[in-house]
Parts: sequence; structure tokens; C-alpha cells
Amino acid sequence: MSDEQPEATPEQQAQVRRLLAEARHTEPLPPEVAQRLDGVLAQLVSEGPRAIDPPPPSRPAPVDELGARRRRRVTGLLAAAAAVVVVGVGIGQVTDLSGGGSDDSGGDASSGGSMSDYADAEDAPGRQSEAPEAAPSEATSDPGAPPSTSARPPTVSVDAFATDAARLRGRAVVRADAGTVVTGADLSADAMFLCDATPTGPGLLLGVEYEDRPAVLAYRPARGDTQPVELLRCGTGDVLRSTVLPAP
Amino acid sequence: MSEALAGRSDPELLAAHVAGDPQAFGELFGRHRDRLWAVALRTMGNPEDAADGLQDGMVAAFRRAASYRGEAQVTTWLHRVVVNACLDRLRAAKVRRAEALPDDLEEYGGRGSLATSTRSDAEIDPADLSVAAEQRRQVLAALQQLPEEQRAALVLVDMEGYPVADVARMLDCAVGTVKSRCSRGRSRLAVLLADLVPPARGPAHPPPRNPPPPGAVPPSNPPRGPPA
Repeated sequence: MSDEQPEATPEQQAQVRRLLAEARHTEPLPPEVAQRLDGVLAQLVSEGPRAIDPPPPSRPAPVDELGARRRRRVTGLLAAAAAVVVVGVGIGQVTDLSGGGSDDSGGDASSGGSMSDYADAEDAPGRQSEAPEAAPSEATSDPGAPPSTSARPPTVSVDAFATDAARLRGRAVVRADAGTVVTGADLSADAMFLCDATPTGPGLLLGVEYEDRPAVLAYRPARGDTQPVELLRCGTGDVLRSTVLPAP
Repeated sequence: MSEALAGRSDPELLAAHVAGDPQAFGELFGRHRDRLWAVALRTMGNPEDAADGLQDGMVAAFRRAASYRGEAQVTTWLHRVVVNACLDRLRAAKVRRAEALPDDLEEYGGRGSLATSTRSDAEIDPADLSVAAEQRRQVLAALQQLPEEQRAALVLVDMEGYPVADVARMLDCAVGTVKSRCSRGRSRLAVLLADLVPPARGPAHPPPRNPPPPGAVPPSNPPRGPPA
């Protein structure tokens, strides 16, 4: 949408307002939607008090650290995006990639297809393969809109949780202690990574997708030769999965 | 819902929910869900996505109830949560799809909301009803062509009639930003709805034409003859 749109006259604005008011929806919630919402609500109520997030903490010390991390991440993303443009143009001039790059992923067969998208990008914060997709949406956004980025969090597969947890360990860099509460913005630059305030406990954290939902992978402090890893439900901190890895 | 709950204010219900009353949130949400549905429907553009957005918002409000600090009315807070849930869905859909909405709009144009009216159909001339439905279809289709932030602002301000200050709280932005989004959105709609919105006129925009020619020179009387 162009900002060069000629401004409507007051008469035109009033006319548009009248048209919008006349197009207002005045019918009640459809019964089928009401029934669906009632079912979801009943499910939430059945979870008991744990379904309600604790009041947002003042987040004293970790805030500065996490805020600084976000600022650094934005800078890093800008640099990564620039690199993507350069690399993309270069590759486009050299070869046709229509066949995809799955053979180059060095794939761990047990990691499943969901991981292959990210296997090549583990060391690249920008997740290059997604970057071109985000550009059009950013171009049409208002300046004040939240950043729409392509840095999608990695996916942890149901069938290969331990393997995925092991290979993603190096990407967990958000440090948490016993009282830390994080949100999606603390864990991922992806504006679509919607993770409600989650008490995590101590360790190194990584935002992930698990069964098409955001979750938090928490690498606990090592105990002797082993390191527990837990997958936490966003919003509650409930443990969805857990495993034990050799200590790093 | 019990009568005891029905007699409690919105803030009291929200506080009761946070305190563990299992019925309080249902009573609270039930009070506002019709209007929240209207906002979700106009923001998302079709009933299916609106139901998803409203459900996301309801779940978020349920879980985040403890974050309500009483700085705005509960209904403003609820609208904020639902609108944000809808906008999140729209942004996610935008990333997934290279092109958005036009096919849905045509389909949506024939759906039930077009029958919305304050009068019963029996009281209205079928021709008028048809014209009104077509006009509403055009307005809704044009609305869906706006950026989602502009659309949300117009839905809340011009359709639902909320004060700009309340909408600023709902959208978590400055009052001036809401006004700007509304103004830009209306200007865009004026172009998209050129058939329904008369072109600009008035002193600020003089018509692009030459001034009227001066009147004819009156003939002299008696006519002058050639010089002698």
C-alpha cells in the first residue's frame, strides 16, 4: 500500500465512514462457533489453576540481558538478511536450484523431514531458506508494525525427540535461572513465534515448534556425565517430553 | 451461569477467574463475545478465520487474565487480546501465502452477514435490499484490500464506533497512529469505492477546467459603418 495515496476530502472520509458503519456486523455469534468456543473453554477450565499464567513478573535482572539479546539479534538479522540477498543473487546466477538441496543436508535420517529444513542452517541465525518469503510482507507493513521475520524456530519431531534435542543443543543460547520467565520474543526473532510467558527453570533455552505449536527446549545444567533436556509447553512450563544427553 | 455471577462487574469476574472461580471467565466472555465476534469477522474477512482468531483470543485472555492491571476497561482489554490474535493470524497467513484473500472475498460476498439489517427483510423493498447487499459486499471487499493494521483501526473506530483513545489501547499504539491509519485507510477506500464515494470537490480541489469565457461584446447602436 502506497503512502502516496491522495488524502480523501472530509466529505469523502465521512462518506467512507458511513459506508463502513452500514457494513457493521450485528448478528450474534453463530451457534456452531459458540459451541466450539464453549468446548475449548471447558477444556481450559478442566486444566485448573495451571491454565492461568502467573502475573507477569517484574523480570528484574534477566530483562536487561534478554533485551540486549533482542537488540543484538535484530542487528544480526539485518546482517543475515543482507547476506541472504547477496547469496541468493549469486546462486541464482550460477545454477538452477529447482531440484532442492535435500541431498546436501547431510541429513540424519532419524531426524525426520521436519528437521531437514534447518539442518543446513544450524550455524546461520538468519535461516537463509526462509528469508525471501518474508520480504513482501515487510514491504507492505506499517512502519510501526512488529517485525515480520523469517527466522522460524526449528522443529522438533515427535518421533526423534532425543536426536533433535542433541543436534540443536548448540543453538540454545538463552540462559535462564530458577526464576526466569520467557516469552516468544525472548526466544525467537520470528514474530509468529507466539509463546506466552513461560516459567522455564534453569538452563539454556531454545524456542522450537513441536506438533505445530511453539514450545521451549530447556537444556538443564549437566549432572555428572549427563544433561537432562526437557521440552516445555509455552504458557505453563509443563514438561511435554524429556530425555537425557551425554554431558557436553 | 449463576445469578451471583451475572450481577458482578467485568473486573470482578476477571479477578474471580484469576482467583480460581471456574465459571467466572465464561460469564465474562459471554457478555462480550458477540461484539468480539463482529470485530474478528470484519478483521479476518471470513467466518472460518474469524472463529480461529476469536478462539485464539479467548484462550489468550483466559491464560493471561492475571496480566490485566485495570488500566483500561476489561472490554477494551478483551478487544485488544482478540484483535492481536487476529492480526497474528493474518501476518502468519501472509507469510505462508504469496497472494491473499481475493478469492475468499468473492465467496464471502455471498455469506450471511450481508443480510445484516436493523429492519426485517419483509419491510424492505427487495430492490433496496439487493442494492444494500451489493454495496456492503463492495465495502467489505475493499476493506480486505487494506493493510491489516489499517483495517483493524477502521473496524474498531468506524464500524464498531469505539473512541479513538480506546482503540489506541486495543491496538497498543498512539492515538495519532490510530488516526493516521484511519485516515489513510479511508482515503484508500475512497479510491477503491469510487462508485459509492463521490469524487472530491470544493475549494480545496477546484475542478480542472478553463474559466468560463467572457460574455459577448454587445453590439454598438447604431452599427458602425465602414470609415468614410
